[in-house]
Amino acid sequence: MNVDPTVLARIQFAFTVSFHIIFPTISIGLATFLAIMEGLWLKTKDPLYLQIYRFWLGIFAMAFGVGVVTGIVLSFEFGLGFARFGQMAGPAIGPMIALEVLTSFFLEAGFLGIMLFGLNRVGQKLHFFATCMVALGTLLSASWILSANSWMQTPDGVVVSHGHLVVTDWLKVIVNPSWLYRLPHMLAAAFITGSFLVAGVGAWYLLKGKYEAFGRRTVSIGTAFATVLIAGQVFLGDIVYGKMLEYQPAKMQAAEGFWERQSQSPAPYYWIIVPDQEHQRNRFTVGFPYLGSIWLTHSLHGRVAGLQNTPRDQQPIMGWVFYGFRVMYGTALIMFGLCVASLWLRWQGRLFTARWFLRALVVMTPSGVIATLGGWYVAETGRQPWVIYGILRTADAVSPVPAGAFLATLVAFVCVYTLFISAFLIFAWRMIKRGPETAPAQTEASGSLKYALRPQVMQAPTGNTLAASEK
Amino acid sequence: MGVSTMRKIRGTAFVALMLQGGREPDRIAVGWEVIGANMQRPATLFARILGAVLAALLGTAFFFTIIGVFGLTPAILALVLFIALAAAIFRCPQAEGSG
Repeated sequence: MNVDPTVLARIQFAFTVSFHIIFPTISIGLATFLAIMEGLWLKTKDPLYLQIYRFWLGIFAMAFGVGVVTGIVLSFEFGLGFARFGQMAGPAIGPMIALEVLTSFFLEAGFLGIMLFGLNRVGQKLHFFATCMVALGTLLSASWILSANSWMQTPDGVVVSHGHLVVTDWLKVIVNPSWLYRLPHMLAAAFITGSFLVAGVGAWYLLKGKYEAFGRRTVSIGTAFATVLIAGQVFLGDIVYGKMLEYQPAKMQAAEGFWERQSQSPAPYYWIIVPDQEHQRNRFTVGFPYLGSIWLTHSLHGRVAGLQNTPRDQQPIMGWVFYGFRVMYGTALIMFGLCVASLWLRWQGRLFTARWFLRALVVMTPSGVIATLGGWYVAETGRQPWVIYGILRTADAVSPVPAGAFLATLVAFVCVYTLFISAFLIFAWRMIKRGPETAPAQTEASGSLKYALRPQVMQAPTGNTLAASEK
Repeated sequence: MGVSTMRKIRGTAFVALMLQGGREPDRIAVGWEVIGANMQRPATLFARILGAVLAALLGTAFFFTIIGVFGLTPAILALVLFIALAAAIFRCPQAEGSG
């Protein structure tokens, strides 16, 4: 077979990690949302909050499960597909992955069962504590993974000795130069994803004229969170952009679509380009005059640095980085616009009655996932040709495995993941169609852990059989 | 009640809300309810288009400022102002029709 194993290994990892990131993004966003909903229910005793909690708990559980399973695959791929990366970077990356397991996975594993099945078995406060611990676990998980990935983007605290990395300063490895900026950016992305998901489903109910109280509350909460978060994300995004320009200029040069060492003045902001990497030029461009100078240099006539500032053998493929960035940024612009529209409609008292807005929310339901995927494509394709920026090239990190083996496993992953995503979408759609009505708006727990551990309660399918009979 | 009167009432209540900083939530809530009742009246198409254009312009101005076009300090101030305005608007009562 003539296909380069490196290309196949990269396609396989790109496919599996792209698939995987959808689910942690949803579960991080939903876990915090669920903790807030349960907290509001405990504070106000409004049963609608509990109904919202119970409804979204099912979808969270599915996203969490698929996220865990597809995440484990990635760890194996490090060893099987990128063994040389594992050999070299293991001393730095390995402990961070292990710490993710020890802190977040153990925390989530300890409390997930109580969160999913304990609402009628344990007391309300203990259950709320479990939900908060699961939410904390998702945040810790994101923190460790972002730390590991940010270290690959901006490595620090190590020296190369005989082809291996030796950690000289653990604090610098964990709190590497880009982690502090990329972590809040990713967490905000996850929360925005959850907010649009919740608001979109609520809007769909309002358009259908079903479960209107539920729909109104979720549209209101979802758009409120999204509005505050998207403004913060725009701010954070600009900070991350500035930092990456400092540490990985090639990535940002590729993201803006300019080849020349200095662009024309004023620089346009390109939305569509047809890049010609070989001849280091664009065959076709569509841009908005002046906007490149204003957005990228914060002046009317500023010039933007192009990819020719980076040696050819260190350049990323411009098309991937450029369109990844446009997908993320374009989606974020639409989200921001929709949030401003939500404020205007709230001001008018028409948030739940403007059908065009509700339709737009339904269309934008998966927008957070799309923007997050776009962002990760910028991060990962923009780091190329390096796997550890400036230290190890991707081509040198791939395992000596025949192309056929990579191709066969890639086909297997595509088949299995197609089943996963189909099952997830079918069951999520069924739950949404069934609606929140099936989610009871009250609990019947006694409040003690001793009660929860009684065999009758443990064996009851929903945990409330005994409680009902005892009453 | 005309659109301009509604705007004046809304503006006055908004200023009151900002000045009181939420210290008297009950009074503010009552104020919003009165405004909300007034808002049930149909606005003219012109007023809606004007409102949409104004909202778009304000949104664009906020976006450009928050993204740092005018520097870091204005960006932080614009972010805080945007969130404060949003938090105030979140309290507006909404019509409950299904659309």
